[in-house]
Amino acid sequence: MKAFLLRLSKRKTALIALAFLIIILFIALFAPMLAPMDPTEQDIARRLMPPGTVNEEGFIHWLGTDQLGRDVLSRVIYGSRVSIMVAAGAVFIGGAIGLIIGLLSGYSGKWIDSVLMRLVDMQLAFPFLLLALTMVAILGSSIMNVVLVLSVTSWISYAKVVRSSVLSVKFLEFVEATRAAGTSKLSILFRHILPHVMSPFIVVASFQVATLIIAESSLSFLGLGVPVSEPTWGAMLADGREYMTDAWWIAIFPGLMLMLVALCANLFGDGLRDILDPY
Amino acid sequence: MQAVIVLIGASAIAFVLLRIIPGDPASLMLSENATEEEIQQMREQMGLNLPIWEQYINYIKDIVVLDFGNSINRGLPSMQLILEHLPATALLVFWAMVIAIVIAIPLGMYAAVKKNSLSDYIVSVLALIGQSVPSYWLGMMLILFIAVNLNLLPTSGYGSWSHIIMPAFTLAIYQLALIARLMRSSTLEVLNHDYIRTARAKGLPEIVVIFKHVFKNALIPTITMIGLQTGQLLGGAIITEFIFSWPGIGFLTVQSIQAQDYPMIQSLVIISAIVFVVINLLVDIAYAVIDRRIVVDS
Repeated sequence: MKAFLLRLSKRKTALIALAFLIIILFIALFAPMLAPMDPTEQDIARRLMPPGTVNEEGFIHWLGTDQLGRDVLSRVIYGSRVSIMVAAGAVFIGGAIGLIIGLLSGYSGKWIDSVLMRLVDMQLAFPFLLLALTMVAILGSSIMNVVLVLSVTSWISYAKVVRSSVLSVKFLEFVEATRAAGTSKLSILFRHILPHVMSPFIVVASFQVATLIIAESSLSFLGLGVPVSEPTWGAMLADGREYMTDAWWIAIFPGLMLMLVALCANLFGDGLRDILDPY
Repeated sequence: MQAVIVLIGASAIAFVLLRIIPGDPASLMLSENATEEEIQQMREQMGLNLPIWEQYINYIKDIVVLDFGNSINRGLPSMQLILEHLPATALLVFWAMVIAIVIAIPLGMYAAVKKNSLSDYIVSVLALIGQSVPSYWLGMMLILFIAVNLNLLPTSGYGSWSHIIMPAFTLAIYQLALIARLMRSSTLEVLNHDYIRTARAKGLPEIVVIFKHVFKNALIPTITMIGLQTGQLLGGAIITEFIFSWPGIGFLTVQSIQAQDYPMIQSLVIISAIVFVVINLLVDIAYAVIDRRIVVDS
């Protein structure tokens, strides 16, 4: 752990990216304290005000207001909550499914491996967003359903990486030795092989954060993600699309946040990969 | 054989998807004030009164003859609608991939050859940005700046060359970044091989080493990626088509999902899987053409 932190401290880009992600996490956690206004409070008299406008109460709308007079800054702050929650939930559930299937597939080999890998191939045949859209359309919009759908559509990335890592270590001498010593299969899998597949697994998970945040926003953008009452970056972009020529600020800021968060997750993932898998 | 298994599995997934919809597909097909009798008649017509295994066999029979039933929304055969929208998507994906490949391959190779230089760093950062920007936001920004503010291109629509530039570019950005990054890493890997050292040691000019030896070998993993991505895009250019009102499969998908046109969605899901499998087969063939060792091995 110490060696890992030391190596991480030498990678400035990854560190800056991590710092930004931690800030976003704090913004999401403390949104009620940080947001200057209620993100759902509507005031038609204050609609489409440009960034920096001071309203009659002396309150500054730093990022302007949207078509219903809601404060864009407050909505951007609250929007981070859904993005982080959905990405974290989907990485956790999708990661757990992928890890277990990858371990089973790689270690068991034979027919279990064949069946599981054909399952991966079948799912790969569907475009990611098409599958996610279809499932949300069937299950209905809710945060939990979006998390579930994104977990089910993303587990294959982990499973493939974990499987190939298991294959690369399962015939190594230390595994053979524990096997010869009569250690049970489960113990070999979880105590001896699992630690070796964690590095590539963590790298995939960090890249998945970026993919999932964009996927969630895409679903919300099409009106099929989280219910409309929740402020999300994707839904803000959908609102902003209709007012692009009159009120560019509605669409610019949530889009920039999405891009920055995804970029930082990718930069951090890149740094992690260099540290954990230097070859 | 593997392709057939994938197709059978994919069609089973599509079958299950349509069966887990809350509510009765037969009543969805009819207007809200349909009588119980009409619904029952529709259920019989759709074969929903049969046992589930019989429904599945009929469904497979229909797929084999490419009969996917009618779209609820438009009352036309789903296959006809898909065939009408497919050329627009194919055109868009073709140009997006051309843009991505033509820019990304030289860029990725250049970054690898100049490893750790400023240009390598710039290419890597740009590629990461390309992979992080949500494509629909990029599309919206292009519409705002190029179409609305500068009035250089039409905001959306289909028909002329000027209509295709922005959507193709929007769709290309992610692919461009992905291919450039992959090309960079595969070039770096090839550069470390002994035969490259030998080629240099025997005095070949660097340009010959790069184009004759490195290029071809670094291209192999990139071709797989290009194939996979093309397959995904044919069914997945959903958001780009939606933003630019491009009348392709993606646009049809969003419309069908919004209208809860389940038979249409099911057909789209199956067709995407078929397209994906066919493209994968083509990639395997392309592999064998580029790398003769694969033919010998198999």
